[in-house]
Amino acid sequence: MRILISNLSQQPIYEQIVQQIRTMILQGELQEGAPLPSIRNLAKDLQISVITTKRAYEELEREGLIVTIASKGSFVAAQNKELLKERKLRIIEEKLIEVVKESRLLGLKEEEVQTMLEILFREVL
Amino acid sequence: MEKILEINNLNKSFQDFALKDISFSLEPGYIMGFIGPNGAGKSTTIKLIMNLLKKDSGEIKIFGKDHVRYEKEIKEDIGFVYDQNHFYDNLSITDMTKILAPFYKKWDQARYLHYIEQFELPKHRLIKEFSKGMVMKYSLAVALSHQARFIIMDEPTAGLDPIIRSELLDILYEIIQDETASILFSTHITKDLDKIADYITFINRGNMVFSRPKDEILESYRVVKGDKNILTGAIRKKLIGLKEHGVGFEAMLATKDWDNSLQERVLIEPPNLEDIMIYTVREDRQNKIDS
Amino acid sequence: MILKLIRKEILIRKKFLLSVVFYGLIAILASILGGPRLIEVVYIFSIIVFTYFFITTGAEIESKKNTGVIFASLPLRKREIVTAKYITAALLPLYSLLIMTVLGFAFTTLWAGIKFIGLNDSLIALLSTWFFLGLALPIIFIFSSTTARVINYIILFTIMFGPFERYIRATQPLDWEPILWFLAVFVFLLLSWLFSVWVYQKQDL
Repeated sequence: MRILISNLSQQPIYEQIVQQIRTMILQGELQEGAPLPSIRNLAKDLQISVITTKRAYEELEREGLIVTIASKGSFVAAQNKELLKERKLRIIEEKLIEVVKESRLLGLKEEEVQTMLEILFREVL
Repeated sequence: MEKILEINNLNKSFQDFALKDISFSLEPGYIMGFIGPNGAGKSTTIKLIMNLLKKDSGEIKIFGKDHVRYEKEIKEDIGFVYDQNHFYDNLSITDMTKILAPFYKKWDQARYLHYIEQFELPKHRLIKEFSKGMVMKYSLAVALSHQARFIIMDEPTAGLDPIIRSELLDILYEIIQDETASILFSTHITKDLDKIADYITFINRGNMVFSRPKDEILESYRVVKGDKNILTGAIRKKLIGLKEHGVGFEAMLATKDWDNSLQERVLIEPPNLEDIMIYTVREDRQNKIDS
Repeated sequence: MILKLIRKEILIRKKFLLSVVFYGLIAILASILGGPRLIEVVYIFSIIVFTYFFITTGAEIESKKNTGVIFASLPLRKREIVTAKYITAALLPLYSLLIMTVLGFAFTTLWAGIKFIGLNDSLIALLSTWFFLGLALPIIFIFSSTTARVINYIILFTIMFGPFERYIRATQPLDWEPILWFLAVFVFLLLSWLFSVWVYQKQDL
């Protein structure tokens, strides 16, 4: 497991943690039942506040991605296949929204972006 | 679980300074940064907690017990680091420890020697030949070697080089891995706390400013910089610690006071604790001059 | 706890306690040179003066770094801290008496020109020193070490050259009731101790 925190980022630290763990779970890098570091241990490793890691884990629990069992620790939750797919789709959608926004800023036309996408689909393996 | 520290409406006045209605508390398992400019009353508060100074009024409870009535048993579980050298300086640390260690029931000599080794302290040189940082490290070694549940540190990082400071932070994380221990860490160098602190208690001129989770504080404020011509009366009122200079202004703004008219007209940056301290103290001084 | 504190009081003044032997030697030699008037009082004076130096050096060592802060932060009651200081100080005249007896014995065997410390001398030395401590220790708790040193210096000299010395000379040989005197001094020390505990508990360190 690998988490990298940037102190220079505009994004709050807890969000950086949530995002990275979420990605690892959704991409299957972290399998169902895999243990996560304890809140305090993660705080120590990342040199951040316990409250920050706690908040990140609480957020992940709310999203149903992890479960915390008292005195045992936190684990990757069992994932519903359909739900998982839906979540992944949502992530793609979010990223595409970014692309659309950026394109508008640059004044790119829909067709131009579509062409770009087509080329990328062929080139990126 | 009972609180490690609970202070309610603490007051203490001296001829030229008064600590007024200080209240805050600390739960087990956390690190609290205690900040404020020099002379804000941090050391006074710590001395009151330790009953080195007599409070005028208010309540201080440590591990849920009155700090004077249960002084002896409470202090068994407190590790303290003061900002000055109070050791007999014509002794070596080995002799000093021989005096101090027997007072603690849970003294852990192996752990003490481990820290002395880690901090590279000379065991037989006299304390008077020590640098400020070395005295601090010795103080820490003693504070951490009797299984204290509450570590009180007054300006521990002053006089320590960055490497030792970073080692100290690792040790502090190690302490709170055990969820029953807490740390109160006073400093005017807030950089160390930007990372490690869970809670921040901020006092200024003897008064409480706030005592809140650090993340919450950092999210509540933004540093804004911009052109002076956008400073209308309404905006000025919202800005904290406004400083105008030749080519613009800088100030702090509470996120709840965010004004959409400022969008794209100012540069916005997340603050660190130092910014929050500087802008708040500046605002306080400006108000004092105005009134 | 009190024993550990007493051990500390002794440890920090190790050098002084060892040098008492040397000072005792000097005192006896000086009294030989100074003539019969000094020989008469050398034992009593040495014992009370050593005690004075014992408590003053201690106060100086502790005030230099305000070490009281450390001990007040340890799991100790303030009462225990005061008590340990009283007991150690009260033991000092006994220690000095022992040293002076040994030295006196050595001298009188080597050379008959000097008188040996008598029972009367010993009792008066102990009584006057303990009486001195009853006054001097609260002063050390109340005032800064420099002020306390000056005040105690005045008290010391008043006791040495005031009524006590005259009393020493007038009452020889022994015709008084030492038990009553010891009882009185003991009660005085007890009151002095209570007062110091009260002062120390109220004090800002």
